[in-house]
Amino acid sequence: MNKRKRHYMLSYVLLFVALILQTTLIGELTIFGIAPSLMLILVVCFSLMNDCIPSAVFAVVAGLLLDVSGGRIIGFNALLMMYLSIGVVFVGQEFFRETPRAAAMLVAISTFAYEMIYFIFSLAIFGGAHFFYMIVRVILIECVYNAVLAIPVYFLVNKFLRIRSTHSLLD
Amino acid sequence: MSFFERNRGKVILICVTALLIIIMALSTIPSLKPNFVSNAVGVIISPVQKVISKAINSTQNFFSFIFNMDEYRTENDELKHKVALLEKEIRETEELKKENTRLRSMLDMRERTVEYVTETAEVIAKDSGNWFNSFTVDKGSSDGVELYDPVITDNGLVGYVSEAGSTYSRVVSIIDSTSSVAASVKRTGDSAIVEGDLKLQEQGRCRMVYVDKESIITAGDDLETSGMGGIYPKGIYIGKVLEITDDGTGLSQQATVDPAVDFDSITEVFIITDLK
Repeated sequence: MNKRKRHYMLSYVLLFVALILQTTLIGELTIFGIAPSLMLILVVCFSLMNDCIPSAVFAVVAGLLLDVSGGRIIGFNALLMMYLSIGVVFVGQEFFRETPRAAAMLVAISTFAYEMIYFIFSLAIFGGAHFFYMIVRVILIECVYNAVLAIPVYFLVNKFLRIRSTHSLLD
Repeated sequence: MSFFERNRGKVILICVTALLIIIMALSTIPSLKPNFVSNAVGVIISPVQKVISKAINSTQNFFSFIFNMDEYRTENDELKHKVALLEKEIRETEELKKENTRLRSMLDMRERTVEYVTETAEVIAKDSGNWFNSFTVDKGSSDGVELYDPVITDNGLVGYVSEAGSTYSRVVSIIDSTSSVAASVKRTGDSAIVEGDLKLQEQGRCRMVYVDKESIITAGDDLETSGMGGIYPKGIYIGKVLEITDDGTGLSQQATVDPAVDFDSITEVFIITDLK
């Protein structure tokens, strides 16, 4: 098995482990009642260090796993994750250097974008209220929490999941 | 070079987007849930989730036992005292029950108490996001669990089954922002709707809406299911009224509800699979 294939396999094994942790342990590690999103952090860090196609595929798989393991609408997380990943590949690799601090910043920005879209979509479909309260009380806390967790995840991805490629999805 | 070759990346992106939107649209049809993929993933991950959640619970219980030893001792003494009182009460109740049965048979009345057929299930996973309050349990359709089966604990109402896979089920709790329960106030008999609220959900609470303006409900009133709505049977304890406020319409009141169930520490539930 060549190095690239081994990397791909390891990526998806880690993704599966992250899913299990997300639905079990992470729920117990809340701060002010807010749980971080390990899958989102992993997708952003992966996209920061890899090319567009592997990142987008990784993001779709991550999103689909989240969808089928408890999402209300299957495909929604996958769609969001895919566009987020493509955004991170272009914006991240263009404007951010590959450092833990950059990863933390990108994760915070991505969390904000992701959760805002998720929240607005949920409001439209399922109803609800307290728009500004939810931004401050849920989204901003999650941004900070995810950004902090992004640092160890960055080192993990950098060591095990970096897959260099010459192809780009939108070439 | 053809159009497809020139725009290969963009075409793939549009196709994947279209495919995911179709999947999203299809997944909103309740009869299509859980689909094959969802069920397959659920069957694979639920045993792993079960092992991990058991390990987490054991660790939490161990540390909680160590740190709260003194508290447990005091609680133990109090409970012993309570058990003695309850045993006395049980003996009296048994007597009353016998007398009730005798009087009922004399009057030729049927028993009105509804009993449930339940399936005990363990909580093995929680919702991965911060917007909803749902969790996964280790019993599914192979154990007789069906979509919309009510879920309870010893303390009261938990929610309903929103997805029944073969070896797992997903449960939407009553504090989830998409949940609503037809309820009645035990003391006054007033009907209302207990529904989840995004803001209160974090505190493990929910709210009661459409309470008649003339209703004399007060903080501390007990709430139970009214049996309307088709999901929950009548008489399941929901919780207590905490605070009553005006809902702004001038037509009705609303109240904050403290559910009897602590959704943060829930580890075991009973799924009502049938009524006796």
